Amino acid sequence: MALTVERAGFVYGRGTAYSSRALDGISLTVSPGEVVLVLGATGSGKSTLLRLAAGLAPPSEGRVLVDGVDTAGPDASRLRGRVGLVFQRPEAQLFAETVAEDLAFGPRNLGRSERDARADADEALEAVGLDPEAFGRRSPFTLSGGEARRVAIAGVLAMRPAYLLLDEPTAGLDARGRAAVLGVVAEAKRRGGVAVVTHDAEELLPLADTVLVLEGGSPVFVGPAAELLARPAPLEAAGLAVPPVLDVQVRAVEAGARLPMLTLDPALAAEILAASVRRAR
Amino acid sequence: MRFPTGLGQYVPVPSPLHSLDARTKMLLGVALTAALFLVRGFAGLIALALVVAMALWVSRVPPRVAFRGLRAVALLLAFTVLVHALSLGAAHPLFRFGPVSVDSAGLLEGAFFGLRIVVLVVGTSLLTLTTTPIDLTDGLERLIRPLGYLGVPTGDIAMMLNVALRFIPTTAEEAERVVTAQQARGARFDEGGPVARVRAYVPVLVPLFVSLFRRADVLATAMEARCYRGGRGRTRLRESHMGGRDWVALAAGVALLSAIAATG
Repeated sequence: MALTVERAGFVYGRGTAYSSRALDGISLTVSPGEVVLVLGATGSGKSTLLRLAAGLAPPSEGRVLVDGVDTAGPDASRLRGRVGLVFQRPEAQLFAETVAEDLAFGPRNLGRSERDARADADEALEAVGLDPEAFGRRSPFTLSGGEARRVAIAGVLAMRPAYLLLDEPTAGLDARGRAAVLGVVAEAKRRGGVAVVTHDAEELLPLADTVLVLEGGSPVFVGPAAELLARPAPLEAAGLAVPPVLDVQVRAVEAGARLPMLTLDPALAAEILAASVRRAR
Repeated sequence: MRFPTGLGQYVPVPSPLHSLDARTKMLLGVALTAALFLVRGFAGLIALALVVAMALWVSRVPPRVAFRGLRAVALLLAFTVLVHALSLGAAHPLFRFGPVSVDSAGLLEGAFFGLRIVVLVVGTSLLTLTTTPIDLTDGLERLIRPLGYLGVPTGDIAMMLNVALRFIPTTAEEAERVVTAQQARGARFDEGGPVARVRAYVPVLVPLFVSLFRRADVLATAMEARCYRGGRGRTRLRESHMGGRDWVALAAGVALLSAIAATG
């Protein structure tokens, strides 16, 4: 049981003068209860990878399997609702008169009964940390940025997908909104497999189990998040910012400090650095 | 999912027709339309068809592309030919279906009106096929400028045209984004009868309008922040000029078309 991308490649406008390769030889596995982080600069092919994983486009090479079923195969229709994709700025897709109504859109499309759809909607709203009583009756156009983003994510969660794919879920939100969305990612991990695409490593690395770093459509790093934390060089290779907390520690090591580990937690990092200074005295 | 915009069909090849000023081509288009509705017989119509064929040849636009515009009026074309061809109780019917029959006079009449539509559509599409949308709006602005003396805000109309044109690809892109997002939520746009299909677009149209209004608001504020005070007295970066070639082409074209209209 997993969502697997096997040596997939993708070419936009294949066979035309505008043909351009977006992905080349990407392999990735998202297992239930796991967060996979896909990092890459703008234009590195991250969003294309999510479209392939969600079955919205068939890969030009390789294949995408959801629980063993090929998304480009004859049984692909069985996968309806198995993979939930949350696009960039998903609040732009809210349309209904009330939040509850909007959230029930997906479950209804999957053919669930009116009662089940309502229950799914309420449950999804709770999952993103919003009170169904208070928010269900509101118009989606009166929500704050962070609330609208969470409602939009809930709209996908309401379909109860086994795998949730998120494209830049924290982009453009204030600190409170970002924290709330990170909470949603943690909650989604309890419900199934999660893949998150972003160019901002700092916030999501602590939540990630596995990381894939893309550069120009090709992988420059695949492995456990802890491994990337210990040696963050691939981030720079991919044109991404090394999180400042991590950068300070990397530079301290280069300057001769001996640190037992590298961490993204500022408090822990300060403690480790202080301890190393004490040892040096 | 593609939204047909009908624009952006400009064919970028170098040709004498491409290098004419947009105003010249627009006025010639008007003259052609007038001539088409003035000619009474096949001789004149065929002469006009030949003129359009010549223009098409000069424009170096692939004929396949020029005839593409006919797809939009295919139904109208078929209807026109049929209505003229069918008649009740014709004297010398070629063949009949029950009470309805087809005679050669009706068939000829149908062919005449059908050909008129074909020449009109192909001839006027040459305008958009050989002129960039920007040149078109520039040309239109210059053409309507005299209306400014009557109090018509021609500068504002031109700015609206420009902005509208600029928003077409943005809107198409936005629409495509929303369609994909709703598809990812299980929406189907290709099922059910006509009513069901129209209803299926509600989840697309509502967010699309909301975002368009937001965008328009931001753009208006941004334009004001850059001191836009209406179109009056604005100068242009690129002034289009009616050159000698334009006047010659216009004079020759109008003369030819009027001659055909008068004799055909």
